[in-house]
Amino acid sequence: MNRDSVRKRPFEILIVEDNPADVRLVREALTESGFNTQLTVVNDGATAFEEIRKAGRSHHRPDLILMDLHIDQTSGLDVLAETKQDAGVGSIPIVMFSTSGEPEDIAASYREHANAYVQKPMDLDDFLNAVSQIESFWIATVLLPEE
Amino acid sequence: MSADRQRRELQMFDGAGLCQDLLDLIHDAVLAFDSTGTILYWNQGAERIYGWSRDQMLGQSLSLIQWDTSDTEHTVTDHSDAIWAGELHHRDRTGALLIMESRQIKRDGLGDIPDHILSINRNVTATRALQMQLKAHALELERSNAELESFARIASHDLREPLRMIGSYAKLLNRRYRDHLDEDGAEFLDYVVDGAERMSTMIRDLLHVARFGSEAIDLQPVNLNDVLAEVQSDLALMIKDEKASISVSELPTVDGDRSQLRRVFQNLIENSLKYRGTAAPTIQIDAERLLDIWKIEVRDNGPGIDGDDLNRIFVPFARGRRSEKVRGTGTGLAVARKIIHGHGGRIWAESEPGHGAVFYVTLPDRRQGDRI
Repeated sequence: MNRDSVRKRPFEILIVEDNPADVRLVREALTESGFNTQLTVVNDGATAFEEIRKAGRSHHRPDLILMDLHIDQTSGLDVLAETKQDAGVGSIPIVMFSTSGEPEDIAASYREHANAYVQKPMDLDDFLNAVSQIESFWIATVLLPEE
Repeated sequence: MSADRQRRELQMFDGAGLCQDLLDLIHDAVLAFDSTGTILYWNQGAERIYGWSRDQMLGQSLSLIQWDTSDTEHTVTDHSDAIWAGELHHRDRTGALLIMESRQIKRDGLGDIPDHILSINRNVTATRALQMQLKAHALELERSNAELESFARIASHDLREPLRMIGSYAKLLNRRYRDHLDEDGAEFLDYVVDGAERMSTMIRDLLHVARFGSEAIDLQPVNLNDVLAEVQSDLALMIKDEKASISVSELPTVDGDRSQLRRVFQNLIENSLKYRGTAAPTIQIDAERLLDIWKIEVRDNGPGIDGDDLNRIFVPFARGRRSEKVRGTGTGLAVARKIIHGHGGRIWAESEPGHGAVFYVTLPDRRQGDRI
């Protein structure tokens, strides 16, 4: 299977984010960039676990997980750690996406095997740009494992 | 001095009466006791401090004034011939604790007088209480400072999130719906965008200030000549634009964090360049060694700083009165102060308005003997 055939179905992104305003901004960015994407949004850690486990069982996995660090109930870090330890879903790339630029948050994320850590930019254009770069990198630049 | 007068004075000082008077004049308690702790002498100072009169105490046991009577401190056998000095816990007539700084010496007996110890005790109870109070206050201050710092840090973190929403959506609104707004609407929206942007810069700078001082400094030898050369090269464009001339005397090598010290001097020079007068800015940097500290001064020919502002300028966002037209949020000097305090030094400004300003930085000289 080559890349072109992968792209025939939409690129599926699971967004773990409890702030609807941020979800909307990501949607705006994705709309602007024009890639064929499909978003699933969960807004707390428990649901995120559930969704990811379901994906593992159904062999229908998201291509990318975009995860906020500070979400309700469970920390994004816990969801990250749990997912990465699960053989079924551990290979799904996870991009941590957080307002925090604290060195501890960044270090902890990579320690738990995050595939990237991106700080949410304060400025709208920078934010949209960051999302579209994440998107184009994971859709068009890298090769991902096949399901 | 005539021979007569000299003789008279000598006689005076020989007199036992004079010694008595002097012993009673001094503030400290002077006492003597024998090997069993029986008190042999008690001056007026002791009367004042302990509340017992001489008549009451002569022949009494020292245990009357000892806080802990199991103390065996006062025995002649404990004493060598040298002067003993130390702190004793005593009590006065009412039973209140007295902390006494004591000096004692053993004397051999002579005639009717047995072997004894002479003791002069200074009441330092109030001083010690004050010292403990100061220490407690210092600890409390340190704690509340740390709390304030982490509060500023957390608050600015949490504020970023809603602010990002305001700023982002105001911009999005501006981008998509500006055409639907009338002139007033567009103007109002501009103010929202501008306000959010300014607040975002302030929060960023506040976090920047909070970050310094929260981590321990890894002290390395830092040659300040190199630091100043780097700063000048970093600011080359600004220096050229302002047609400024900067002269640097030979500076010492100090122990510190290189990048933090670089930030300090960059902020100070930037400050002098920003707050310039009408003449081309000249900045002179000198160093002077004062005992065990280095004092470094950064002197400019700008408009100077008003007296009221001399302290305020080191507080985050509290900018001087002349700052309306100067860009920045006003955290550069606050950062410099945090760094210098973190290095165990001091920073302050002196100025005669109209005649420039001088910023002084002191840093402890941990490199003894390593002179310029």
